[in-house]
Amino acid sequence: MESREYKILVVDDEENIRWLYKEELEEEGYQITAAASGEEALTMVPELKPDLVVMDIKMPGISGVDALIKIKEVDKDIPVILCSAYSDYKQDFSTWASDAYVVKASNLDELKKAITRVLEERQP
Amino acid sequence: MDYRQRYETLSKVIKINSSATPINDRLMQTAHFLCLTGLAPTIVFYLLQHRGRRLTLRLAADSGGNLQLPAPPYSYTLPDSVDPLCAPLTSRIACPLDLESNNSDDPFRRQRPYGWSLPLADDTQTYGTMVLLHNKAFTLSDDNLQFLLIICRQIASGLREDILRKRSHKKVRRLKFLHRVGARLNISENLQSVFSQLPDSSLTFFAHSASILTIYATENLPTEIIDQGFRDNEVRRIGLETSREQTARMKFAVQPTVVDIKNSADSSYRDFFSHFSAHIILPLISRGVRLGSLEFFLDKDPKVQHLIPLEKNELELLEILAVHLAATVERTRTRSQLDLANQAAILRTRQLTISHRMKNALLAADTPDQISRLTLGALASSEGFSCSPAIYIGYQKEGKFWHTRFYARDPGSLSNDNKCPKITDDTTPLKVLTCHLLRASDNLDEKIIRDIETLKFADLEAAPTRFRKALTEEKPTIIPARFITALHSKLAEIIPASEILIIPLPGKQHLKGVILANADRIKEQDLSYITLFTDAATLALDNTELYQRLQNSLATLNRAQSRLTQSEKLMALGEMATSIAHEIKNPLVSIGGFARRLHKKIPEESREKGYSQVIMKEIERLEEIVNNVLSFSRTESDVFAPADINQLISDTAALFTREMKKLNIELKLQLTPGIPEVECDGNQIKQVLINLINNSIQAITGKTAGLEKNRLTIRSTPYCNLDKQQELALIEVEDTGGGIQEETIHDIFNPFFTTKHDGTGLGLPICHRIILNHKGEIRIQNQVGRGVKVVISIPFKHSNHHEQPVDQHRQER
Repeated sequence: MESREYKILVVDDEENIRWLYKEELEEEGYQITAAASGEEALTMVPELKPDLVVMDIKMPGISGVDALIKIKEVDKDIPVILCSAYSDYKQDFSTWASDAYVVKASNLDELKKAITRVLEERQP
Repeated sequence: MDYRQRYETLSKVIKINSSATPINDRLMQTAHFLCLTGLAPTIVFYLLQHRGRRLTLRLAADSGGNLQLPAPPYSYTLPDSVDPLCAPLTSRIACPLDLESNNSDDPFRRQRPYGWSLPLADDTQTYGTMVLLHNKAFTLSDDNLQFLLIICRQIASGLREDILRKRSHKKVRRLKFLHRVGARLNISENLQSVFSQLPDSSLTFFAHSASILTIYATENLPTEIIDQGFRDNEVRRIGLETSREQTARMKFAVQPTVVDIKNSADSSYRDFFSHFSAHIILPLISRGVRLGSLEFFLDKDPKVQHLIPLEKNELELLEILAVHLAATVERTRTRSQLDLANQAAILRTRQLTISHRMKNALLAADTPDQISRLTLGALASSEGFSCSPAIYIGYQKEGKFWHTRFYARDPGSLSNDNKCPKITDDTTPLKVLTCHLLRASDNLDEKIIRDIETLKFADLEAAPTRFRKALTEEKPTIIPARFITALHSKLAEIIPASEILIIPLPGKQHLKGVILANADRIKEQDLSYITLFTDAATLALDNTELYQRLQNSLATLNRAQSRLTQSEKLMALGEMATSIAHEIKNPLVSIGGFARRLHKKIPEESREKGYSQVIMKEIERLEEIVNNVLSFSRTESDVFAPADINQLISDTAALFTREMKKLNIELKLQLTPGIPEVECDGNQIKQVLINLINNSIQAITGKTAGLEKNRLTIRSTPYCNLDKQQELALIEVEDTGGGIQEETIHDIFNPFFTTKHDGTGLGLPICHRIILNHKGEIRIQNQVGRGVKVVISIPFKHSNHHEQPVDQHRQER
């Protein structure tokens, strides 16, 4: 599986959260790039071509869901994991287009599992 | 007797007989002068009386001027008499008399049986005879005879004048009498006083003894014979059936008729009126209608009997009397009818006024109880309909039985100082009137309260037929009390009356109640006014019921509104809590995340491992609390409720009508009316419809060319899937947008697949997901070059068991 280092784009308006994600996920062996907003992420996606995007929903500027749709427009094969403080977005059909939905928590185990699963599904 | 003596005597006799002295004086003086001439010692006058049918000795005089009046009076009935006295009367010539052989009690004739009889006659009539009496036979010279005949003629002319004077006096007296009677009749007030005039009248009229029997009979008035015997002034009433002939005469006589009773063919009639001689019938006719008759009965008195047959002018006078009487009877009758009509009109006006006033009072009342009590009060009050006492039996819906709720009696009878004001009095304010009428059902003594509380009826349907009929006809009825007392034995005590008024108060669904009241003082024709008034009561009852229902709805609405305000407040609070929780969560995640990292770095055996453990656990606890707050504050996203699918379609389509009109697209809704409600989340279905309509509009406007008219059709139909045994609602959205290219048709439900430049590729996938969520299906029927038909099917009933397939779920049931 570890044939190459996956590039993961982390999008969150909270600097501390970005830092936490970076620290934790780099430990897992991913190559992490961070963006502070949906807009910033969108400018980075074409060049970076990330293997996966972890996206917060509630952010200043465009929301995570909108950013997700825009990213899919650029390349619909880039998987996006939505990661939000709200647990019940899971049931909302507006978020179902994401590849996974994870409730934001200090324990990142669930997020890590979701990343592994989504990346495995993308394996050709 | 010389010429001179004759001349003097003649002039004296002429002078006497042309004077106005009474007849007896005249005859006496004449006889005296003649005796003085020595022609005879005694002169006797016999005068014809009773219309010339009897000859009566009037008086005798002699030369001494002594007047001898006969006692007893001697009279001779002419036709039977062979008396020589009669000869000169028939032949009207003087003749000598030889009365010796004639056996007579006449004292003068017995004293002086010889003489001459000379007729007292003029050209028209014989009045009697003057007889010169002697002791022996004697003759009269021609001169003396001529002289005596001249004397007789003078006496006769005097007698004629007497008769004429008497007749004219009689006529004047009768005319005066008629005038007087007429005047009295004109001012008489009623029939009784008319009748009381009559005995007096007959006395005046006939101047002899007679009974008056007035018979008065018409269709409208009682048939009776009033016998007014004037002698004892006693009024007797005789049943008419005593005489058939009498009835017939009375019925058919239109002309004044005189009946000779003893010659009547009807024996019962003859016997019944045997003490009368004649019966005079004067029909009373006014304006061609027989009102009855005025009848006189003449006594069997010789003095009266000569009156029969009546003279023509007498009959005419009686006829005038009858006409007067008939007019009076007619007038009094008309007046009494007018009086009755007037009284009735006054009564009706009063009742109408009561109905009107009570209607206003009822409409101003607030509660059903007040209306019931007001209705009872107006019925019971003597100022109202005088049906006191009255009770109201109401239907108790919960207990399903009938119970007396109110009792009222005439408030006027309660106390004098608190007398009820007149309902008809417009100056009494409605409030005061209402107060007084309500009092009719207050102030009851304890016995009445106890009595009416015992009145419970499990089933009025089991009541006697007459009572039930009154209820089903739904209008006031009067029935005999015995039909009511069968309902409950106490009722007779509570309403002591022989007739009971039943007033059903019909409601919209069922009978609201029944009023029972004393009907002894009202009549059948009063019912229409009572109906007017009770209809108003029923209406008022309905109104208050509606009003109360409205009040209840208003209260519910107010409660709902306050709840809504409350929940809005809660929602605002929730939103605030959410945003706070969200703000807290991010720092928590950072703190927690880094604490976790620290924890990992701390060696197992160090004390710090325990500290970081505490921090981690506490943060997890905080995260749990924040998660709870966040999930609580958001509402459920799927709200399944029965919804009218047609309404959803038309509501959604309405959002596009303006745009479609602008784009020249015809919108056609073919909705099956009455389609059952579908259990669904209305907002999500709307979302689906918005997406589909949007797609269609874009397809229509985007197509290059098309012969067909631009049209968008939305249909709703119920459908039964026999394989799955499932009832479904079908919604079809069909456009003329040219259809979808065959190669792309398989991708259209994939997310982010789109053929439009500005499309997200999420429209149809979202629709798909929503319909799946509703256990339904979405299919595309594509006609390349023409258009697309999207068919959505949703089951009417939504199942909450997401795991179970729908068919399995149905089989279980």
